[in-house]
Amino acid sequence: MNALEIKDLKLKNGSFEFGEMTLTLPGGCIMGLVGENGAGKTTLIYLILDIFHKDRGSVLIFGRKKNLNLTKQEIGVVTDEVGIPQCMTAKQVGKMMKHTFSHWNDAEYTRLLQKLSVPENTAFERFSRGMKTKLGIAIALSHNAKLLILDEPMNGLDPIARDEVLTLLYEFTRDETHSVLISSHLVGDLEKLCDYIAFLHKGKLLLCEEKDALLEEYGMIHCSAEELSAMDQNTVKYKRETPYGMDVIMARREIPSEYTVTPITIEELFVFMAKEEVQ
Amino acid sequence: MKGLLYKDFLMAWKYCKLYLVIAVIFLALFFFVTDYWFFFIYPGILFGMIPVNLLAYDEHSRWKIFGLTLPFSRAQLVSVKYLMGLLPVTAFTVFGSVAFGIVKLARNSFSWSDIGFFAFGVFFFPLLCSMISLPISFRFGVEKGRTISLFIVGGACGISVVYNVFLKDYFTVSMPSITLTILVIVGVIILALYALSWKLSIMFYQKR
Repeated sequence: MNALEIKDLKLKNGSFEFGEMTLTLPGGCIMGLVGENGAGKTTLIYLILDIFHKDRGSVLIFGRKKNLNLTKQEIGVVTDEVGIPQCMTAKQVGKMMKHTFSHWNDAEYTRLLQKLSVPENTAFERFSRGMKTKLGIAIALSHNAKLLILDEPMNGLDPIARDEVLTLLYEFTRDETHSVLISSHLVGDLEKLCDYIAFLHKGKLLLCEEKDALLEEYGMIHCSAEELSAMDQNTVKYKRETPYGMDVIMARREIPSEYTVTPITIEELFVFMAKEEVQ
Repeated sequence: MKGLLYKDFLMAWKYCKLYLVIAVIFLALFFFVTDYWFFFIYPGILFGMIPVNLLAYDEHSRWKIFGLTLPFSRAQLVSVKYLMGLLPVTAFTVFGSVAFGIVKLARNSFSWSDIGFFAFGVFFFPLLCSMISLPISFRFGVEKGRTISLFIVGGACGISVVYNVFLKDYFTVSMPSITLTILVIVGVIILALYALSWKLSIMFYQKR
């Protein structure tokens, strides 16, 4: 069963038009959402959770459309800004969540707070940004969720905390019934973690593919403008002019043998795609 | 829903416990110093502002979005505010009425209609505050809701001052003339309006 099935999702919000978008997160997989600021990553997450009302389209979570509140029992969410009341401590938050989630695990929550060095008896207003995010992650991982939806969870985290969080996500995904949808600017982390990558740009889905297939399919070559103009332009996927010549992304099988192929990263691929869209 | 009530009670205790102190002082003034009804209505109105104040704190801490990621319906997120409008006010009414009754007994002037009038004022004026400000908050935002609340409080204070300073000699509403039956009928109407306000707020918030 797919964790998420999004079909023809559309929202018009002032001058920002989102969609139409069709996307599927297979069960047991991790999908990374990559996009520049304002691409629609957060909008997509809010539409999935019905925080924003869609104009058109459908969202199925675990094959279900109705009773989203019951479904949210199985979803752990970390938003960009964790909106806990300022006066509450992590301990009080735990008590609140115990009365909220039917499968709340107090022992696991306490363990995660200790692991992530989140103080139990300090008011939330005195937390740093990174600590707030860590508390959000502890909450999301403490109620036996089957789907994690994470919106920029690494923001504000120092490298040690990022490593700890990545370890926790790896542990979460060891269970094959667990799925993750994660958006991040730190594409390097997504590349390590994700099975699927979805590129968003200006509210549109540019691409959604298996990460390994993407990296195997495309390669980069460096050539001069004249050499580029001599190539079959149908084989050129994306190109970029640099002071030293042209960087060209092509399907590996179509790259002429005389060129040295440089492996591309997901970040490079996204930047090329997004800039090409702008042009 | 329990989780939401726990959160809101914690916040109310943190941010609004001064109202308890004000209530005790004002009630003491009403019982022992003056019979201006302002002194028992005003603390009640403060309690009636608790829900819209909690909404403001929610907005400040960005709870609005976070709350919707949790397994609560929009109806529950609205309903907890109406319960926070009812529960503290009910508790205040019960304790205040018992205290008023004890004072009246000690003065050998106990009267059920006096207790009824007192309980009515302490219970229903705060509900008027909540039932007007909450739908406005859920429809147009917390700032507008709070502004309306302040107008209601100011209006109540203003009416009280005008009545006690200028009109009392010319127009006296005597407690015995307002029977308990009338209070009960008006009370039922106000409760029905409170329920209507509740439903309206849910409708507004579900569309937002």
